[in-house]
Amino acid sequence: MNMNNSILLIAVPLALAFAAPLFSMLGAIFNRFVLFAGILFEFIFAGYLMKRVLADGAGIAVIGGWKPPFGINLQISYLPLFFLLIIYFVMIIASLMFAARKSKKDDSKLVAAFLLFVTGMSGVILTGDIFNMFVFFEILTIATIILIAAKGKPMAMRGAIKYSILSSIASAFFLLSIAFIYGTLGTLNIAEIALMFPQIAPLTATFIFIMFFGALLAELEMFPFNMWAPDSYEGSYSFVNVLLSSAASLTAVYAFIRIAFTGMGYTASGYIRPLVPFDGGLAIVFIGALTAIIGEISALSSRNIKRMLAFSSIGQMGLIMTGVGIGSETSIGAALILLINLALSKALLFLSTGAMLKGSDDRGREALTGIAYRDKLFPVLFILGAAGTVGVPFTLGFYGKLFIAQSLISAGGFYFILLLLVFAGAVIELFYYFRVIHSMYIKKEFKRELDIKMLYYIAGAVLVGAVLFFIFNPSSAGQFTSPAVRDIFERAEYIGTVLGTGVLK
Amino acid sequence: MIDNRIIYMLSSLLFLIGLFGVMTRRNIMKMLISVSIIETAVNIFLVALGYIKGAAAPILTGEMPRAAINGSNIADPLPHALVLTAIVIGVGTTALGIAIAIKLYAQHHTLNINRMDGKDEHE
Repeated sequence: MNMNNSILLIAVPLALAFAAPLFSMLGAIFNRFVLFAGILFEFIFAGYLMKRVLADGAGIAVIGGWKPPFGINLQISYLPLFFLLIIYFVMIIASLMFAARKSKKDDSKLVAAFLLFVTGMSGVILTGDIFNMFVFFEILTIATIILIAAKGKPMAMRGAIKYSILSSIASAFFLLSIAFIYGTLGTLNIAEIALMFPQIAPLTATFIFIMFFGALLAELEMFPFNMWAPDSYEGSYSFVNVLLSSAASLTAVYAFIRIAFTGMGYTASGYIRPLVPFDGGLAIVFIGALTAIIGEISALSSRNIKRMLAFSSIGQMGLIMTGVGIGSETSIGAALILLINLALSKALLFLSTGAMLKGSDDRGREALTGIAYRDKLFPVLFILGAAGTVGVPFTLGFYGKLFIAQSLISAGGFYFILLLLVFAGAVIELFYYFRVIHSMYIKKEFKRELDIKMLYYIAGAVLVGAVLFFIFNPSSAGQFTSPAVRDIFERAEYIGTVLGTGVLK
Repeated sequence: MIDNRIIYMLSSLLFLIGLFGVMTRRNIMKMLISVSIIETAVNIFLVALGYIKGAAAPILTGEMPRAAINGSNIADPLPHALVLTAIVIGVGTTALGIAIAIKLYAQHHTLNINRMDGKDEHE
C-alpha cells in the first residue's frame, strides 16, 4: 500500500534542523517554538499513520520511484510506529524541558542538533534498507555527541569523547557486517535479506550476527561497552539525559530486533542459535543479565545522583536485552513493556531531578535532603518514576519483570540462575532509590531557593497522566505490545509487504 | 593466486592494527587516528567486494554503448557508492572527535586519557 508521505517523518526534522539558525534570527523564542512544533507534528503524523496502518494494514514508502529491492523503501507497520510514538512522546517532554532553559546565545545550534537527533532516530526506525539504517545511525551518533558535549564542562567532554570513540568502532563493525551481507547475498534490502539469509553458510551467518550484535553493544549500554554512559549522563543537560535514556536506547533495541529477528531469523528455537558450540542466544542473555547486575551494583555505590540514574538506566537496558535475547513471544512482549516503562519512568526521574537540582552544582546523594518541605510536587514525581523502575505492583515495571521472570523459568536450564540475578537487581534498585527518597523527606532546612518553571509542571503532568493511564489500565500494555510482538515474528508478512511475495524460501 | 582474497586478508590485518591501536594507546589523538585506520580498513574491504576479474571501472564513458550496459564488462558500482558515503561519515565523526579533543586539551592540559580524571567532581 502506498504511504509515500511518511517520508515527511524524516524530511521535516531535517529541514527544520537546517532552518533553525534562520529562525533564531527572528528571536530567541522561535528556537524553542520550532523545536516543539516540529516534534509535535512528528507525533501527530505518526499517530495518523498508525491509524491508517490499523485500518488498512502495513505499507511501504518507495523512495525515488525505484521499487524495492532495487531502491530504498521505508516500511510502515505496527512495530516501527509503536516505537516512534513512544519516542516522540518522550521527545515532547524533552523539548518542553529544553524550552524551560534560560535562553543562551548558541541555542539555535542545540536545536539543530536536537532535530538531527530526531531525524536520525526516525530514519533508523522507518527504513527498510540496512545501509540506510547505518547512515541514519551515524547521524544519530553525531547528533548525540554534540548534545552530550553541549554543556562544555570537563565531565561532558570526557563523556563525549568516550562515546565518540566507542561508537566509531561500533559503526565500523556494523559496516563490516553490512559488507559481509552484501558480499554473500548481493542485496541491502532487509526484506530480501530475510528471504535469502538461510542460504548463507552457517559459519558466515554466525560471524555476521556476532559482528552486528557487537556493533550495537555500545549503543545498547551493555557491559563492558557502557563506560561512556555514566560520564555522559552526569555531564550533560537534563533534557539530553531524557533523550539518551529514553530515545537512543529504544532506537538501538529496535535496530537489533529488526535486523536480528526479521532479517536474520533469530528466535527462541530458530536457525541462528545452534550454530556456535554453545547456545548463541545464551551469550546475549548472559551479557544482558551481567549488565543488569553490574549496573545496579554500580548505582548502589554512586555518590552522584545523575550517575546513579545513569547506572539504573544501564540496569534496565540489561533486563530488556535479557528479554530480547531469550527470543520467545513472552520475553519479547516483556521486553517491550519494560521499554515503555523505561521511557516513561526515566523521563519522570530525569525531569524531577533536573527541576530540583537546577541552579546548583551539588549533585551528591545528599543534595536533595529535606526538599519535600519546600516543594511538594516534584519529590512525588521522583517517587512515581522510582516505583515504575523498581516494579512496584501494578506499574508497568511490575508486569515487565513478572513476564521476564516467567520466560526465564520456562526457558529452563541455565536461565534459571539468571533469574536470581534479575531479582537481586530489583532489590538493589529498591534500596538505592529509597535512600534518595528517604533523604528527600528528612525534616531538615533546605537552604536553596527552588525556581521551577511552569513548563516543567506541564511536562510532569503529561508524564504522570501517561503513567497513571498504565497503572489504572493494566491490560492496555499487553494490548499495545501484542500486535508489535506479532509483527516481529511474522517475517513472511514483512517480506510480503515490501516485496509483494509472501513466499519464504 | 594473487586475487581478491589477498585484499580481504590485508584489510583484516589493517582492521586489527587499528583495533590494537585503540585498545593500547592512551593519547587521544592516537586513538582517533586508530579509529580512522579501522574505518579505512572496512572501506578497503567494501571496495574489494565489487571486484570482477578483468572488468573495467564502473564509469559511463562515451565509447560504452548505452543499450548494452547489462552486457558490458564493468565492476560492481554499488560498493563504490557505499564507500563514498562511509568515507564522508568517517570524516565527520573524526572531525567532531578532534574538536572535542582540542577542548579537552584546553581543560586538562594533557592528551593522556589516564590523567584526565579528577578535574570535575565525580563519584
